[in-house]
Formats: sequence, C-alpha cells, structure tokens
Amino acid sequence: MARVEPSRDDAVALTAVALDDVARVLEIYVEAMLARPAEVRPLGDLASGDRSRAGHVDLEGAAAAGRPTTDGAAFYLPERMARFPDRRGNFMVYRMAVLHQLGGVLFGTYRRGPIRFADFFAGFGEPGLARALFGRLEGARIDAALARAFRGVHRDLLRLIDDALESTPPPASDRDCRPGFELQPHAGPESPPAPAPRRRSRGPSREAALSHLAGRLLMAQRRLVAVPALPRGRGSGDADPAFDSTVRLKACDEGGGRGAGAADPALDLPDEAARLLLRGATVEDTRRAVRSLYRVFASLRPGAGSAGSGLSAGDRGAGDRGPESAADPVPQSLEMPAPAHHGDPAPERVELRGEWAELASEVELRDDVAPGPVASGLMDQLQVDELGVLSLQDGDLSGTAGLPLTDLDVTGAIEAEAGDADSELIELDPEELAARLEELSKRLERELDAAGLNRDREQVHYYDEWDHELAGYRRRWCHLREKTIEPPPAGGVGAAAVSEGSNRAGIGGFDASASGVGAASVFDGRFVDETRRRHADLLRRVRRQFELLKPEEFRRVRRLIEGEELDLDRVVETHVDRRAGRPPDGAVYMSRRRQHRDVAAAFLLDMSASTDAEAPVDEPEHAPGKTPAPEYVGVFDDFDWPDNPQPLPPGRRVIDIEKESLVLMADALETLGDDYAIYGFSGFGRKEVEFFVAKEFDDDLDRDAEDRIAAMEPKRSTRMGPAIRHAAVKLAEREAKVKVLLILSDGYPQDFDYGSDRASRVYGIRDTMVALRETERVGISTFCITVDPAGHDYLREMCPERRYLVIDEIAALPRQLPKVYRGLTA
Amino acid sequence: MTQALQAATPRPAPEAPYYLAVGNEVELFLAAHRARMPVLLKGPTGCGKTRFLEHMTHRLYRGAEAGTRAGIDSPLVTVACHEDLTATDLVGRYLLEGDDTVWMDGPLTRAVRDGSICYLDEIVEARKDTTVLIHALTDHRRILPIEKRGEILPAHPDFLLVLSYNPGYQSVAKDLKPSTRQRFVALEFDYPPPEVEAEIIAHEADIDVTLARDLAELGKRIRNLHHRGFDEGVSTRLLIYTAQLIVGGIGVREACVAAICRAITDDDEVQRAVTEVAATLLP
Repeated sequence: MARVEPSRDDAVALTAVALDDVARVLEIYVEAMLARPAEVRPLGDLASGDRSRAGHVDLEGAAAAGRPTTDGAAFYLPERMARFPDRRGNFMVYRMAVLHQLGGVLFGTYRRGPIRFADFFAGFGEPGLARALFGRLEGARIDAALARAFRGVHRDLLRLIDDALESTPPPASDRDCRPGFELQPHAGPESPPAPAPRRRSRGPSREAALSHLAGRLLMAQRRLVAVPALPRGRGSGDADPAFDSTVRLKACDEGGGRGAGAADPALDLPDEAARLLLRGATVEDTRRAVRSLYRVFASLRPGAGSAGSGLSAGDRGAGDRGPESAADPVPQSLEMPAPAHHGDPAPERVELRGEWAELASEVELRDDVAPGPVASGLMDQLQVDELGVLSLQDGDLSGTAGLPLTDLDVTGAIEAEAGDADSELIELDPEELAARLEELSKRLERELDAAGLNRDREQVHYYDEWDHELAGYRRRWCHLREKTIEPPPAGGVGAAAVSEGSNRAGIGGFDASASGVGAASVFDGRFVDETRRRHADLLRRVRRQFELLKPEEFRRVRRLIEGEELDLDRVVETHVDRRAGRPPDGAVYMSRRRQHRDVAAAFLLDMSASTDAEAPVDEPEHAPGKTPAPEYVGVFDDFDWPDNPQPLPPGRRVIDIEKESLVLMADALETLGDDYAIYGFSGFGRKEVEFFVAKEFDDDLDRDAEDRIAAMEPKRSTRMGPAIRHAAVKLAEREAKVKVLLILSDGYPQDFDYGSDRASRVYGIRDTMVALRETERVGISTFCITVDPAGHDYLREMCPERRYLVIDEIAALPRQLPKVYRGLTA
Repeated sequence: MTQALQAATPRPAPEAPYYLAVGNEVELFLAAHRARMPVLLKGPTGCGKTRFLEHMTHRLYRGAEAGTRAGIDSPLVTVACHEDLTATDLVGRYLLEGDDTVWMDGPLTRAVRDGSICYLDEIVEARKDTTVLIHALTDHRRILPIEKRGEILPAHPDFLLVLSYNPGYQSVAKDLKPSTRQRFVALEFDYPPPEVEAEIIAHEADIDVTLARDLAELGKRIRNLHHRGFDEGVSTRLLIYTAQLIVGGIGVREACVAAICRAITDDDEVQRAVTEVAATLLP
C-alpha cells in the first residue's frame, strides 16, 4: 500500500512540489503555449526500460539524472522537485522545464537538417561527448530564444542561472581549465568531424574544461537575461539592439578579438558558443559549434574516475535524484553545469519518431500498401496523427503566431524540403513503401522497448481520491482507462467478452471471470431478445407508465402579473372587483410555456467478480397476490403493478439480472426519449481502474449496443470512487436540466489497495461517499441500488439521504429500477 | 418590460465608434445595406460584433452616407434575446391603463415604422415564434404582421434587420433553422489576429503597443485551450478590460488574474495554467 512517505527533512517536505499535484496544470500550460494537447509524465515511466540495451544513453541518462526530456509525444519530468526552498520556486522549475522542452519545438531543435541526428552523433569518435556538448549548447540557445520571445521569463531564468552558478565552484585557476579554443580552426558547416587529435597529456582535464565552458556559458546567459525585459521585436531583425549587444559584445565581434573578452569572464566564450545566444541562431549553428568544440575536448585527457564533485554539482539539483541513480553512476561524467530546468533534448528519438510518423501517415493514406506486422502493430499503438509535438515542424504556426520569425525556425527551405520528401514518398511503389515502413517500425520498436516507454497510448484519466485518514485528497491517485466492450462473435463464449483484461492472469483471486459459473453460461448473442421475451409483460407496463411521463407540449400558465396574453376571464374579474370596490389583484395575464423533458441518465454497473455469484432461484414473491415489499427508504411508492414474472431459470447470476434490468430500462427510455448511457466498471488497484462503455449517450440502441450490454461480464474488484467521478464528468458534459447517475452494485466498494487496511471498508466507503457528494454538487442526482442485504449499514453512510435502495430479492430488480428512475426524474 | 428589453441607443457621438476592420466586413455591410438585405453577424462573444454594428450605424445614419436618414431619431434598436423572449415582446402588446387597454409598440415594430436598424442580439436564444416575424420581414414582402391589431405594417424603406448569433456555445438544438439562416447575408467574425487585436487593445485602453501586443499574444494562447471547459476562449473585450485595469494602476499579473483567469473558467487548474501563461508572456 503506497502511503505518503514521511520525509526525513521536514522543511524540504513542506516546500517540495510533487509532479502529480501539478501535472494537469502543466499539461494545460503546454497546450496553451503549443496549441496542441500534450502529456506530462513522470520520468519514472522512462526509466523502467531494459537498460542493458545499448544506444539509448540519452533518454536513460536523462531519467537517471532526473533531467526533463521529451520523446516527441510527451514531456517527462522528475517526480518531485525540491531544488529551491520555496514551493513557488520549485513549481517554477517545473514550469520552466516544460517551457524549455517546448522551446525545443518552437525554436526548431528537432527540425530536419541536412544530416540526421543519429548519423550526426555516430560520426563522432565519442558520441557521448558530442551529445553532452549538444545538449548544453542547444539548451543555452533555447533559453536565449525564450528570453527574446517571452517577456515574462527573465526573472525566472535569472533565478535558475544564479542558482546554477552558485552550485558551480569556480575553477581553481582560469588557466588550468581553459582549453585553448584558439588552437582550433573554424569548422566549415559541411566538413565532417575530424578524427580526434592526439590526446594531450598536459593541460586541463576534459571534465574540468567542460565544466569551465559550461560555467562561462552560464555567465553569458546571465548577462543576457539580466537586461530588463525590453519590448520585443516583431517580424524582421529590428528592435532590441541593447538586448543583443550585451552578448554580441566583443567576443563575437571578429575584429575585437579576445583581449577584451578575457577581461570579462562572461565574454570569454568561443565564438561558436557565443553566437548561439544571438538572434537568428538555429540548431544548425549548434551542430556547427558541437563539431568545432568536440575537437577541442576530444583532445583533452579524461580526468580520473568520475570527475569529482565540481562537475556534477550543477546537475545535482536538477530534480529529485533517486537513490538508484547514485548507485548507478554514469561511467564517465560528461555532465556540464546547467540551470536546473535544462533537460535532455533527445533529438535522435524524436527524429526517429518523426520519420516514422511521416511514413506511417503516408501508408495510411494509400490503399495499395499493406503494412508489415511490426508496422501495423505500432500503427495501432501510436496514433499516427497524435504526435503533436512533432507535427509542428511542418510549418504549422497556429500556436506560435506573433513570434519573431528569426526565432521561429520555419523557413521556406524546410517547407520545400518537406515537400520534396512527400513527393518522394508518393513515387515509391507499394512494396518498397511497406518495406521501408516495416524497417523503420522495427527500429522504433526497439527504441521504445529499450527505453521502457509506455506505448499504450490509450487515454488515461486521472482522478483524485479521498483519504479520510489524511482528511484530504490524494491527487491524481487513480488511473482510469475507458474501454469499449467488444462483444464476441455471435455464438461465442462469454468469458472473454471484454477487450483486453479478462484474460490476464487472475491476481489475488480477483479474476473470477475465466472460471466458475459464468463461463459460457449466458452469452449467446440472444441475451437481449431472450430478456425481452421473458419480460414482455413487464416491459409493456413499464413502457406505458413511461409514456405517461411524456409532457404535454405546452402548458398554459394563468394569473400572471405579466405575460404574453390577456386572460379574458381575469380581465372581467378585475373589472368586477374594481366596480365592487375591492382592490383588483392585477394578475390578468397568461402565458403558454413549453414543457420539456430534459433528462440525461447514466447507469453504472458494478462488474466486480462477486456479481458472478448465482442468484437465488427461489422467489417467494411469485405467489399470486403478494406484492414485493422491498425495504427501502424512498419516495417511489406511488405506482405499483401486480407481479407475475416468469420464473427465473436456474443458474442465473447477479450480473445477468442486473443486465436484464438495464435492457428493460433501455427499452423504456427509448420510448420516453431520455438521453442515457450504460457503463460498467471494475479494475484492479488504483492504477488499473477500468471503465467499460456499453452504450454512450449518443449511441443508438442498436444491435451492437445490445450486444455490448449482453457482453458485460464479471471482472475484478469494485473501486467505486473513480468510476463515479468519471461517469459524473461524462454526465456533466451533457446538456440537460435533470441529470441522474444510477449505480447498480452487489456490495460495498473494495479493492486490494482501497485504503491501507484491506480488511477495513471505511476508506472505500468514505471515498465513495465523497465521490457521490462531488457528483451531487455539480447538479447530478445520484442513486445507489444494491442487492446486498447487508447494504443498509454502509449505504446509509455512503449515500445522500433517501438516495439508495436495498433490494433483498435480486429478482425484483427489473421491476424496481424503472420505479426508481421515474421517481428520480419525474 | 418592453422598455427594459430595449437598450435605448443614445444619439451617437459626433465621431463614429472605434472599429478596426479585419477583413472586408465594412464593404460587405455597406453593399448589403444598399440592397436592404438583412445581415447575420456570426462570431464568438466579445469579438466586436456589436461595436461593428454601432460603427456602421453611425456611418449610415450620421456620417457622410446618411442623407435623409440623419433625421431618424434612434437609428439602432438593440434587443438582447433570451429564452423567454416572445414574438409579443418584439411586436408590442396591449397594456391596461385604467379602464382602457392601450397598444404599445414593441422594439421591432418601432424600428420597422421609423426605418432604424433593428439588432436582435443572440437570436437563437429567443423563442421559436419570433422566427415567424423575421421571415415576413426578410423576404421581398418586407412586412410586419401585427396579429393582435389585425394590422400589416409595411417596413420603412430604411429599415434593416440585423441578427447576431454565436455558433460556438449554443447547443445543436438551438441552432438557427436553414429556412431562417438562408435569408441573411452572413458576416463571420472571429477574434482578430494578434497584430490587429493589439492595435485595438492599445486604442481602447490607451496603453502602449508593446503591452498590448503581449496581451494579444496571451489571448491567442488562451484560445488554444478552447475545449478545456470554456468554448469561447478569452474575448477581446476581456483583454481590453485587463489593459484598462493596468492603466488603472493594477499590476500586470494581478490584472490578468482578475480580468482573465478568474473570468474565463472556474476550474482551479486551468486558472493556474492560464496564470502561468500570463507570467510567461508578460513582464
């Protein structure tokens, strides 16, 4: 049972920010900034992969170091942020981390260049070193571009840079660490990386030199953002001359030379690096700088061991480094001091995904191409058109309008290039296209598996859960997945009726669906017809009753002080009153008001394992003349009918009768024209709450919907809270005056981790109670019906007053449900 | 009741109300007016539909193009429609006065008689029986049947009917019927592009262009969240309010929180995210 862990350091615990608490805010933030929905996930999702595989240093490294990163579809952040002594500051790190990652998208980190990133890095003798350089330099470029584009980030950037500078100890002596950039000639843009020069045995160690460079970069960055926010320029390269000139400085001025630069440490940067901070710098400039600086660093001697504390100091705070990362040191530390919000751009992976998405969407468009097995599997898992971050590259500026064009990395060249690629694809013949996609898919799958990326892109809904012991919500505690029930082909066997899930190995005895009474006993595709036939009598009566609920179109309202029409009778009365000396009441108008029945109802069926139990066959109330008198506290005694249902065939389970009731309700509701939906829920543990859709509000009650209702089968446990919250969200989206949520269950809420004490029901009951209250608060009436005879105990506590019903005799449910419904909505 | 419905439009100021054209809407409206074609203004709340109409009314009734129309007293009759608004409310009704009943023209009747522009704001909110009136007024007949008095009122040659309608948040059930919709020339409004919106904000709130640009950028980004529980995004009007608060001495971020974040949504987390967007974009 997961509990909030008491922290060793109380002060930190008070000011630390947990990702779970702020993830939704960050997601909305990204969506606003990027004009596309994006996911924010914990880095833990990345780190669970198979680490033994090679070639995934970047993402895994990022996860180990707690550095934010993206895979092109989601943003990954550390689970907890405790960098600063105040909550506001720690949240700011999260927000800036997201903005920084997003900056990579806005400012073209992932744009297609003349050479693919994978080839680019592979061209270096030590790809790790090149990656480290690229990450740090590109980070500085992005920060500079952000500072130019958004006037609000200066203060935050300043705080982050100062923080990084503080934790970077100054090098003992400048001369010791300065790697001597002067020795290196400028690299042409297209020149291949030169072979590493002979290692020098003297001079600064490589780590010290990297740290030195990063420190200088920090100083230059600080110089850049310390300038107060100035009006930002639009369009071409006008405006904020003061802004740029602070960095343009003499360092960048070819003529000015190093003399002046050496005097001011902030200016003592190699040209290639300094240029990245200026307006108009692109990722190509970063690559160029990496090529040129790589040569310098590759020639330096690596330091002893993992390079001393000074080197990783800047990184230490970049999130909450778990204990496992300390035990798992990066073989050779290439970490360079950077502000806490910097992350790993992971360009290779994003690039691979982009290429794949492009090819896959082309294949999807073409009828003549049959994707291979791996490709089609991936295309099912990854929605081709949902790679939001990537699709921005193709010149879609909807979210970025107004940014200075020089900062936005969209040029005619890219578009032209993209166009070329497209036409190239179109010319490919089907086999070749399929083969290419298959090859790419295999590579991508390897990548994703290696990084342990959750490829399960189905949408997860997060819900808070009430913990009565904490007297507070556990934020985003439950992970709920919505599934559409897939009925087996007609005549199929009922056990595996629901997509996924039920064939998972039964854990802890919760999975009863594959065994016992339930298997193959019911589903034969004719469940609904059978129900209608057997309950024909009841169905007719319910329908007639419901017909009566239909309102008249118009109703005349009389005796109004104001209204559309004069009511002649009243006018005469008024005159009479006046003549008789009585004061007239003046209510002489009438009005015709339209009456609507405006109801949306959701039925939520408990699909827990216990509904597999056989319903008692013996039905005492079948005796003629005996009216069932279910024990309930309610207001629905006003209509009753004689009962003589068909005898219940043996071997029927609780869930069958629940489903029968729903079938009858659905038929009756079709008559009435109310808007309704039928859902089921089950799950196993807080991270696997399942919500099954049998009929959505907008679905017709057709053959398919009927089959889905028939295919609802017992699954696992009963975590009611999240299911109620989810159904409430769906109801809240409906436009109706009256909204009701009816829950059909057979017992109290339970799950193996619903509260710390599995034997105690209190946690689950309290959470369900709070969920029901939340639902009531948004204007949805709730009602719980249970067939558990012991239900009175907890329903009284859990449900709003007079909003529950305990049915002692399960067979009475089909008759009781319409009554309850009528009472709730009339 | 009738008085309350009708926002009495005061005689426009000598200067036309400020309106910055985004596209060809001014030309279209003038041409439609020349042919006396009824006009439908579509667009989200607070994007400038009403201001546009005020501007055009001024041009047509008080400006250079006015001619004989300059003599018409209240050139723009605005009715804000709501779900209890009936045809009677628009046409007029008998009221009791002592022992007598007295006929009282409704706002629509008055506009039809005088030759004003009648502006039915958010027409889909009104009851369906109002469309009957609209139909007879908007085809070649140009008449208003006043059923209660057994009178057929031919429209003044200058009379023009203008409807507004917000396709965004209304439910499908409340959509305008094709038979109604197809009687109108439709002008589609949307929030202006950031550069234009910045200019509008700067003009309306009298603030410097840089800040106005940041606010327009902010609006643009918030509108990216259109499906997060608020269909309408943030209106130009709210951005102007924000600017006016800033002019009034409120801090930039505080103004954003008060005029934008809290106004557009009740969802705490969306509010917080929007606050963060404001903190990113504004100094």
